[in-house]
Amino acid sequence: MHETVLYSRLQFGLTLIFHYLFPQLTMSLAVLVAWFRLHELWGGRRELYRQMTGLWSKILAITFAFGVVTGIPLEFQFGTNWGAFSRFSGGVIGQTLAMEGVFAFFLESSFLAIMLAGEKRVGPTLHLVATLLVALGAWLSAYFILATDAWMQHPVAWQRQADGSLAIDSIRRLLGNSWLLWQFLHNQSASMVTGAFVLAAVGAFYLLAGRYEESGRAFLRIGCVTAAIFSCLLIYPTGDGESQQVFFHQGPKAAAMEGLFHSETGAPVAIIGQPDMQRLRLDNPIYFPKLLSFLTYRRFTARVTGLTAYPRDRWPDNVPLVYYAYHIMAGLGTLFVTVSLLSVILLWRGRLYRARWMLWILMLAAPFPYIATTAGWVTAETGRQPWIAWELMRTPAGVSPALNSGNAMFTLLGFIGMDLLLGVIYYLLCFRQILRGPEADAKHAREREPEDAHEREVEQARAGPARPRPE
Amino acid sequence: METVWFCLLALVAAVYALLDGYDLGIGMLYPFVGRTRQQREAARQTILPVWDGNEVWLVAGGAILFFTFPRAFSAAFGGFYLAFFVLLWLLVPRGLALELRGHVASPLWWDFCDGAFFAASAALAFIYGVALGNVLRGVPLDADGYFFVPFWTGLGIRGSPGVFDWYTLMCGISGVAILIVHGAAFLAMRSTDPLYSRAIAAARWGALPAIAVPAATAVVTPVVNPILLHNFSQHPWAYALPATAAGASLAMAVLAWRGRERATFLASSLLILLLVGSAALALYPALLIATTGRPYDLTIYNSSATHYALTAGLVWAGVGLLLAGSYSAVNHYLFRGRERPADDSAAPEGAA
Repeated sequence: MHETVLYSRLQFGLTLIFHYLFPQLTMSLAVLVAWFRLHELWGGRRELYRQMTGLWSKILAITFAFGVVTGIPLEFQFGTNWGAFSRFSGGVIGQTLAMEGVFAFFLESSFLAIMLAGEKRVGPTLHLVATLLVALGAWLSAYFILATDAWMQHPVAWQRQADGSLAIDSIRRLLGNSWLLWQFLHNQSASMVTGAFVLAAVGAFYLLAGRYEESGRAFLRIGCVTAAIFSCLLIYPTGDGESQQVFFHQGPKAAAMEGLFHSETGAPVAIIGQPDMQRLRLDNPIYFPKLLSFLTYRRFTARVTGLTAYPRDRWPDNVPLVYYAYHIMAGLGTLFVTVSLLSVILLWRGRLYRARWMLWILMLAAPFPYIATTAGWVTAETGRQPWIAWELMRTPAGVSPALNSGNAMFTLLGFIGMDLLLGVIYYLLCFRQILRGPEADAKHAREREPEDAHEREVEQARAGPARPRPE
Repeated sequence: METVWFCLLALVAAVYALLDGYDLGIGMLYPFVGRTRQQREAARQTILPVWDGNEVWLVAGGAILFFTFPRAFSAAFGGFYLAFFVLLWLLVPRGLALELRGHVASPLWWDFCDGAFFAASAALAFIYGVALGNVLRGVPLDADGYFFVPFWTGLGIRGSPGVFDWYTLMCGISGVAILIVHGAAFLAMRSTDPLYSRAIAAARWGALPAIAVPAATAVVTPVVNPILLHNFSQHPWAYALPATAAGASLAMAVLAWRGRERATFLASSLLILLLVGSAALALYPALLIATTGRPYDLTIYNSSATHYALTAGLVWAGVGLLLAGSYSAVNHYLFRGRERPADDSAAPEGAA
């Protein structure tokens, strides 16, 4: 039974982390592509924006396809691996899961098809409407699935029934869970940061490689400004709001995140350090004095509760993992603010495009938002342990009673293999698309009547002599 | 209220089978009807804009089962654990092969995607048949309302059968046979020669097994699980459903032989709706029939969520499903008409 729980947790964690690599990009890219498209239809420099829409629509399409197919296993696993939890809580969170399917997935899938069919088939206006609806569907989907997670973190709107299972007593309170507001804003800001850094990284890559420089500059400009706005929002107010919730509702998780073993007055923030689970202290710590008290209670002298104040059976079962995941997330978040503000300053001074050292940093930064979001989710979900629904049901009690460990390991191994394969294919497809560049559609463009002869001349002058295709 | 949701669930399942059914049918015919790259692309293009929306009916159906009848959801998904993961591992390559094929212009990639698309479609059609067979045969629910079935334990249906026994295999073959005709009729509606005539030929010859195997399966069903006859013997009018289904399957064959693709598609759609409807009627009010004794059945009464959950759910899900139906209609309307294979003499894709 113990192994069944372990393999089921690993499998859910793996499939969830792998899945979320894709939606965090599609949610932000859908918004950015809609923005490019708006610009293309009603703004200046239409040809440039048309090419940008072309490239990023393709990346969006590839990413969406992976997001769709990796997402279905998650819903199924509620029943296959967490049957007892599903029976216990299905009367409540079944609602939000089904709302996601009914309101978000149909919207996304139908209008994505229209969007991908291209403006040639449906006309530019319907194409823009479809892109906006895809973005709406993606964000709605996030809202409903976060409502489900918010309930597991902070259960609301439930009543216990005679057989021990839960029933919903108010849909409004379920969807208006106080936990959900900050979680949604924080998560969506993080998604925008991922999209913005990916955009900026591709722009930096083009400039460093000396190709498609016109597009590269536009990617950098939009990417850096978006990254600066949303990485600031990530920390304040959304990150602050979210961590306040954790401190007020999930004491042991908050203490584990900060590595605070003993309650302290004027508690410091540990910037680095390794939790020592034998001696219950941080090894090699570097502290920022009294900051934790201030961040939590807005008073430098406030008393913050440490882990030892709680009974051991309510601690997260892997305190160091919660601690490291939180520190990786928060550390990277700080780094994002620094990098993006610095690049915006360089952009403002007109030096960004020539600052190769900064372009290298931006190019290499692309994977880090993914690491930060993954670490954030690991903090939230391993920190929730030992509860599958906070203080209502413990995780081992939620596993499917008829499942044995051999079968659970079989499917876990299957997912490891499949996700490796899918990851390689995704990486190759996207990298290939980026190498082909935003002018891959240029042939189409030439077939279309130029809207403005002058614009075309300018475009040709910019493009310079035709470069050979990288194939 | 439980009955309303039972009907809605049956409807969602039937709509899913009807819509994704032709995607799977075309997937199974795909390597045979499309002999050049252009023909395959035209065949693929008929379902590319709609398959994802079609698949969402499955996801939505699963989630609706979760919130309306949580006990049945957790029992079924845990019990058919292995079968569900095989299903997932088939849905993944099917969707990716369809969506990603156009992104790389290389014969290697096309072969890879075509192979995955064909194999996954055929296996999915088979698995859906097997799944229906399992629900009709019944499962060994325990007093707690859980069960677990392995893949197989030998092919007999008595004792403790697995997911695959001779009866569910018959159901699987029925699924494949019906969906081939269903897909062929859809392809014929949406294509021009030479795809068109090959699709018509596939519908003609496919119609023969698509009558024979499901008919044989339907005849043995009451022998496999006599409980299924209960509702029909109580309400003899209910026999109208399987009888009409038999009529629809005959009509499907006759119309296919006459080369009337639209009418054939209507008949095969009707057949699918009626088969799912008959199965639902036979099960009612059970969601999962226990082979361990009727008191262990999971019915809509002992496995449902509360009255509030069901009534409030009906409001939003009603609106949501109407919206979903209208998106699906818009998509099918926008992408109507026949797909022509690109001119073979044109420059190959991506060579520019």
